[in-house]
Amino acid sequence: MMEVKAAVGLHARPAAQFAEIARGAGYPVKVGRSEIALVNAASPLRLLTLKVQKGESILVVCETSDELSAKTILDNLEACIQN
Amino acid sequence: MADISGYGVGDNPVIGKIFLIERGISDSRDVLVHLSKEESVVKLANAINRVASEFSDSIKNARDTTLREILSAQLALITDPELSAVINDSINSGKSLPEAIDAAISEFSALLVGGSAEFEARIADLKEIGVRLIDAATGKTQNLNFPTEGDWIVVSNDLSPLETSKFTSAIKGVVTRDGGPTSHTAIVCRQLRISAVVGCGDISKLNANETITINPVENAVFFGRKAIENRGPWWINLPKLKNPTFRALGNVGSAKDAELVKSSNALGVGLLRTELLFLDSKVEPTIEEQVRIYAEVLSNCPEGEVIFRTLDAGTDKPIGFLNLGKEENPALGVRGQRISWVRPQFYANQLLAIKQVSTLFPSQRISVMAPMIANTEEATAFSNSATDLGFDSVGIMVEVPSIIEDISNLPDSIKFLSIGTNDLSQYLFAADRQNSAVAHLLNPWQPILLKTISRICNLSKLRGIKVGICGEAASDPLLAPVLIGLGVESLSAGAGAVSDLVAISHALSLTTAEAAADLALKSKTSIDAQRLVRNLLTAKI
Repeated sequence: MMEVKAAVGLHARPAAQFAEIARGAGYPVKVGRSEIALVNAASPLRLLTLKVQKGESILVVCETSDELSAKTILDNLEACIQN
Repeated sequence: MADISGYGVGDNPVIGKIFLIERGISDSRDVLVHLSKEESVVKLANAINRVASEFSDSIKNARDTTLREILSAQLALITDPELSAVINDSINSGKSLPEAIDAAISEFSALLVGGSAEFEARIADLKEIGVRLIDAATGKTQNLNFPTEGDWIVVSNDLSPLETSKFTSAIKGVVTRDGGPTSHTAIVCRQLRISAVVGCGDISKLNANETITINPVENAVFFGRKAIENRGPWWINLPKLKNPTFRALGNVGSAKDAELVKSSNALGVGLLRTELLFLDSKVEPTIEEQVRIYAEVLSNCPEGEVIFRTLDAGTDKPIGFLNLGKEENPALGVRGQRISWVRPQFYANQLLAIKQVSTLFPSQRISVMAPMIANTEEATAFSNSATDLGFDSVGIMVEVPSIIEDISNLPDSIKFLSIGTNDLSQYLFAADRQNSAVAHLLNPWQPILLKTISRICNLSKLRGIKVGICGEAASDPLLAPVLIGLGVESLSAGAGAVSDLVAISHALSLTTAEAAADLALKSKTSIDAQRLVRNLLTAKI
């Protein structure tokens, strides 16, 4: 889980950056509030439809066995929702 | 009286001819209805490419970073693989291309309903993307050529960022039917310094090529040419007073702010926001690190008083190392000085660090104040811990209305109050600062806020306590005279507004200030208060 700190939540600009990072992973990255409701993190539209507000926590799942790469992607995603 | 009213953006009145952007349902969509499934899929892919390259071009040519960022976010939606996937699914289930695009846009729009205003505002972006995709599929390019000569005012239901990116230097103003103070149009116009009146409701009486006058200061649109005096700031021709009527100070959150405040000739720093120095810290800074950071800022500050505010954080203003968790209602939760209940050691260390750094800067007078103080008990606890360390200038912020009725009981060690008008308004009017639907209640010209400030000044005077203002209200050059007339001793504005404040402090007479305060206090609405004071001040030129 990571907390969204960007002032207006996972809104247009942060969503676009978030999706770009997820797309760069090369394997599916999913995001949502819980495991049963995940969307494609590489889609800015799907990210917007989550309507994540500032201060909410989101679950991010990297579908890969490459732990090192997953950690880098998660760090980068977390950094992009800090402010 | 205005012929049409809306929400004004900018300070300057503008006269120009109307450049009308009319919109209807795309008339050429019929030609797309009879395509085969395969042809529709290819047309869609081409249309997406075409619209995407149109956006890329606009991003390259955009005059301003904000506009570039908005356009980039929209480009990301256009090229979103999920959008084309949903449209293609509809095509394969038998829908025509325009129907499939409409259906996908409606589907995503429905998912955005019920979020905050920021999310709902994206629905308009999606609708425009739908229209652009259908136009591009029919081969229509966006045929919007703004004039390059003369003075023009763009009139439209609303403007997309793509359209505003095509503005030429001949576009002097904007009038829109839709949108509010936080709409894309308002934000972009503010950045481009184009006067606008947005959200007018009915613009059907505005016809192409007619001349109109807009005055954002009055939120007004007038038919025809109307002389509106724009003689520059009200104090510009007044004689310069040798001694300032009040202390003009600056708000500082970084060494850069401090430099700007100093170069504006401020008499000190009315608010040093210590939290801004820690926003990126993952671990709690040690006392030595804090001393180093504060020293860097202080070395750029003007000589004179520098008021340090202890850490003002909360779950809505998060600081990583405090790990405050989540609250249902952060504005009413453990915020500001209340954090000392859960992290007492951090506050003790911070005061110690401020005391240590103050000994390194003997030419500055270092004061400390605490945010979000609600009653005398909290004020006493803070002032005891500060005076124990040897601080002789200790104050508190007035943001929580409950403290006002306790001013007469404050301990003698409290030497000054600093009013944070933004939070004071939020709590006084029960109006969330994050919610644009209640923004009008947070207007600093609200006579009730001004009466409250007057009461704070009167109660403080009886105790010999000085009152300053460090909120947004201090940055409004028309409001400054009112605040001084109410009995405020110093105003502290954001770094960019300090030079005006300094000029005002050398032009404003106490008589004018008192007359302005009197007019504002007697007004029934914020609009009346602002209008009456503007008339008074401009009549003095």
